[in-house]
Order: sequence, then C-alpha cells, then structure tokens
Amino acid sequence: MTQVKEGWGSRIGLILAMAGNAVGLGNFLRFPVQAVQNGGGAFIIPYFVSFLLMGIPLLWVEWAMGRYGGIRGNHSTPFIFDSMAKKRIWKYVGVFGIFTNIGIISYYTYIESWTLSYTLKSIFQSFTGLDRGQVSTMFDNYAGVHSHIIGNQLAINVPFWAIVAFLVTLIINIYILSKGLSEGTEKVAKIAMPLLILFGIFLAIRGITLGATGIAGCSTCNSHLGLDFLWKPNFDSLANPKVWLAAAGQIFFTLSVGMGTIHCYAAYVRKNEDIALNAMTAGWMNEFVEIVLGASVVIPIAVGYMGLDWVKENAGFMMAFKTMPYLFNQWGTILATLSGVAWFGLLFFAGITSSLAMGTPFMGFVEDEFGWGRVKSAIVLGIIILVLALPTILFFQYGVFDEYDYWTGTVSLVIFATAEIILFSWIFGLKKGWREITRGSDIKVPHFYKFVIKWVTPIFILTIFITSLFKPLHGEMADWQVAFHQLFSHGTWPWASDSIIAQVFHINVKMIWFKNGMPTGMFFKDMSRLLLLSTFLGLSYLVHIASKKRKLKSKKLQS
Amino acid sequence: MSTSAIILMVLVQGSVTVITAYFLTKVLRTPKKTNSEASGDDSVS
Repeated sequence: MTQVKEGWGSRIGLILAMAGNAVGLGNFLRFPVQAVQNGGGAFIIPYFVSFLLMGIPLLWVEWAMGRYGGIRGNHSTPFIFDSMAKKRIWKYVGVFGIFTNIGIISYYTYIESWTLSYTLKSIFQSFTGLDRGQVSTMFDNYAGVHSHIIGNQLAINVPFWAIVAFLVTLIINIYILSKGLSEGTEKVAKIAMPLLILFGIFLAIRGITLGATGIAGCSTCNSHLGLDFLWKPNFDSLANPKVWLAAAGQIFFTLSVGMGTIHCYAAYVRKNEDIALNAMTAGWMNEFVEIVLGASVVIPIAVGYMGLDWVKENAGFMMAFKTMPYLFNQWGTILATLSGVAWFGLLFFAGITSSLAMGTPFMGFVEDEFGWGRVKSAIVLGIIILVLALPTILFFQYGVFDEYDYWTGTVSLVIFATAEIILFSWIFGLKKGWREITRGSDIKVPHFYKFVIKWVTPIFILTIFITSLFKPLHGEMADWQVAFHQLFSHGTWPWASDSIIAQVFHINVKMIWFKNGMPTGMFFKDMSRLLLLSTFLGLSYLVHIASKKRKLKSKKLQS
Repeated sequence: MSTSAIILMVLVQGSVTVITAYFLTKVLRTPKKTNSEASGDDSVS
C-alpha cells in the first residue's frame, strides 16, 4: 500500500465529475423508453419512491464508504470493504467494484466511439439528404460487423472506421486517466457537463415546442402527443410489480450505484469534508438531466415525425443512431447540423464522463497495492479494455455484447449493492455508518434515513435481487400468482428467459455449441461468460496477492 | 396535451429543477473549509 497523493482540485469539480459518472447514455435513451413501456406518467411515482428510499441512501452509503476507505489509504472497493469488516471474504466481495467497471467499460467505450464518429459525421453533414432507410443502413454499414460462413470457415468483415473510432476513443480515455483526477477527469467534467446541459436544453426546447409537424398521412405526428403519452398518469400500473422493478432498476442504472465508482471518487475526499450535500447535488443534477432534459428530447421529437404508434413499437436504444439524424434532417441543413452536433456531442460527453469514472477503480487499486504510476496503470487498463472489447466488436451479432451487458451491467450491480448495504448497515454498523455520513456535513441529514438505511433500503434491494433470481415468464403480478400455483400443483416454475437462474443454467435453451462443425450463438455466449469469469478470478487473485503483501509489510513494521 | 399530463410534467420537472438549483446554490455559497478543518487533526492517512 502506498500513500496516494491524488485528490480533487475543487468541490465543484468533484460534484461535476460525480454527476458525470451518473449521467450517461441511459439518461437520454433508457429512461424515456422505460417510462413509455411502464405506464407513462405513473412510472414517475415508483421511480421517485425508488430514488428516495434506495437511490439517495445508496448514494450516501457509497460516498461514506469511499471516504472512510480513502482516509485509510484504500481507493478501491476490495480494501475499502476489508477496512470495514473483520472477515476476509469481504475483500473478495469488493472485487465486484472493479470487475463491474472493467466489464462495462469494455463495451461502453465502443458505444462512446459511435457517438464520437456521429458527431464528426454531423459536422461534415454526412446525413444531409438521406431518407430514414438510408440513415439506418448507414449505421449498419458503419458499426455492423458482418460475419458469415463461407464453406466451412467463419468469415468476419470488420468495419474499419468503427475500429479506428474505437481505438481513438480508447486512447482519449487512457490519456485523460493518465493525467490524474484533478488534471484529467476533473478538467474534462468541468467542460463536458455544462456543455452537455447546454446541448440538452437546446434539444429539449426543440422537442417541447415542435408540436404538429403536418406530415402527410400521419395524424399522430405531433411532439405534444409524445409528451402526453410520456406524462399522462396511468395509475393502474402502480399495482404492477413489473413497473416497480423497472423503476428501481432505472434508479440503479441512472445513479451508477452498485458499481464501485462512487466509492472510488469519494475515496479522494478529505476526512472532514462534506459528503452529504455533495451526494445530493450530484444525484439531483443527474435527475435534472434525466427527467427534465432526457424526457423532452427523443420521444417528443420522434413522435413529431414518426407518429405515436411507430414510437410505441420501435422506441429503443438504436433510435439514437438509426433515426435521430433523419429527424434532424427535417429542420433544414443548418439546424440539422447544429442539432446533430448537440445530440451526438451530448451523448459523447455523457459517455466519456462515465467511462473515465469506470476506469478509476482499477487504477486506484493498482496504484495503492502495487505502487504503479498513473501512466503505467492507465496503459495496462487500456490493454485490458482492448482485449475484453474485441469479442464484443467482432462477435457483436452473436450476442457477446448483450452477454457482457447482462452480467456486468445488470447482475453484478444488484449483487454488489446487496452486499454493500448489508456490510454498511449490519456489519460495519449503522451507528458508525451514520457518523461517517454526517461528519463534516453542510446539510442536516434527516434522522428518518437512519431507519431507511437500516431496514428499507436493504429490503428494497433484496427484493430486487430475489425477484431477479426467480423472475417468472413476463413478470406481471398475475404471472407470479400463476408461477406459484404451478409450483405447488406441478412442482415446476415458469422461468423468464432473463431471470438469473434461467441464465446460469440455460433453462429452456438447447445447449448446442457447434452445428455442422461451426460455432453457434450459444458457444459465443458461453465463451463470453468464461472470459468474464476469468477476469473476475484474475482480479480476485490480484487482491489475494495484494493482501499477502499488506500482511508482510505489517509484519515487517511490527518487527 | 391533456391537462393531467401538463400538470404532472410541470410539477415534476419544475420540482426537480428547483431542488437541483437549491443544492447547487448551497454548494456554491458554502465557504470553503480550511486545510486543517477538512483534513482533521487525527487523520489516519
């Protein structure tokens, strides 16, 4: 363990970096789609309840854990957890806080590179005059890796410019990370976050004021119908557990809790510096970007030109690249160019501020435990990302990308959050924990949250964890009743394909790795899992070595 | 847009904007802690 001299240059820089960590592509693409699919305006109620009872407590807990570990020289979750509990298992649980980030950053950087390329394409007006089909095909040709079988050989056609853009994006990230927190990440956050908000306001004003576009033969082509669909309360959906799970899940993703990045950033905060107000400010800034800006861009603009029915059927992540440039084209060349730059620029800023945060836990770990310098740590991180990212790029259409996203971007978060809230509230103890949250605080933290952190948040997260394990087909309230009925009458359970147990044991899926001598999608899926598992075990081994080094050092000091 | 949608949108987006601005202003107005205050005398690191 070495004494790290890293630190934040200013309080506002720390808050912007933390907000940048939370604000990601999901604020503009995931939230509105989730809201549309889960009851429109009524989704906001479970969403806010989840934010107040799970999001805010987890923010305080993670900031407090990070600062507690940091003042003891620990800047990554394995040894932050280790410093809070006696049992040595906790440092291995803390490995999730590095693993999750390395897994996500591997495919996230690739998406980030699309946004960088598309910003440049907007500047050079590459979309001018293209119809919707051509814009969509342009993306397929740009990012779609076409692999097919010729004879008995697997042929892969790699899109050259997508790979170049990915490498450029990776180098930019590694360069910024090598400059350190105050000179790299913080400086980027101070430029990126205000610009992101400015671009978002510009597009949101356009989305809200667009109104009826008068597209021939489309009676629902009106952005106000999109807003109406998004905000009209449908209180029936409140009784549906699926909606509550979706809302809680969105809070997880949007705040970047359960990842280890917040711990790592907070580990560089000084002992008596405020964390309660900082956490609130960064958290609410994320909510502003998501609810005020994110909800006012994609859905209203898309409904304005494509109609409500089209959006209900097609709303999804790929709209950002396959549809939005065509929609901007309707505004004339100059405004289309400006809007394209604003849209892809804000997505790039949202992406890079998050990927920088995801790179920090690994760097904090190797700098602390192995005494590596920033440049060496950043380069090694870059190599690891490259190795893990290549399968997601080359075998994109075989589901490798989705596999990474499921295990590192969904399952790991829930496991890690479940573990950390138990550690903080029950093992470390809430008495000490509360002292950590409130020490140096610039706001009065309501006492009510003592109860919430001890009972409500753990139950909330455990419920998400258990329902994710056993999710029945479709996951609606009635489906749970049917599932229990089936369990007691037939002894079987109707697994949803995305339940964790169904995924682990390949339930309802044929286990075929090769067909006619060629690898199947299942083969690529299982190989991705093997790669991720090896990464986790490799990181655990590094933690084991670091732990032995610490013991040796402590023995030397005693003698 | 229906009245209920407008009310909910204005209420939620307005509240989020006000709360965010409140916390941000509070951060900017709070005087900076001195080095000794922020680090504490019994700092472990």
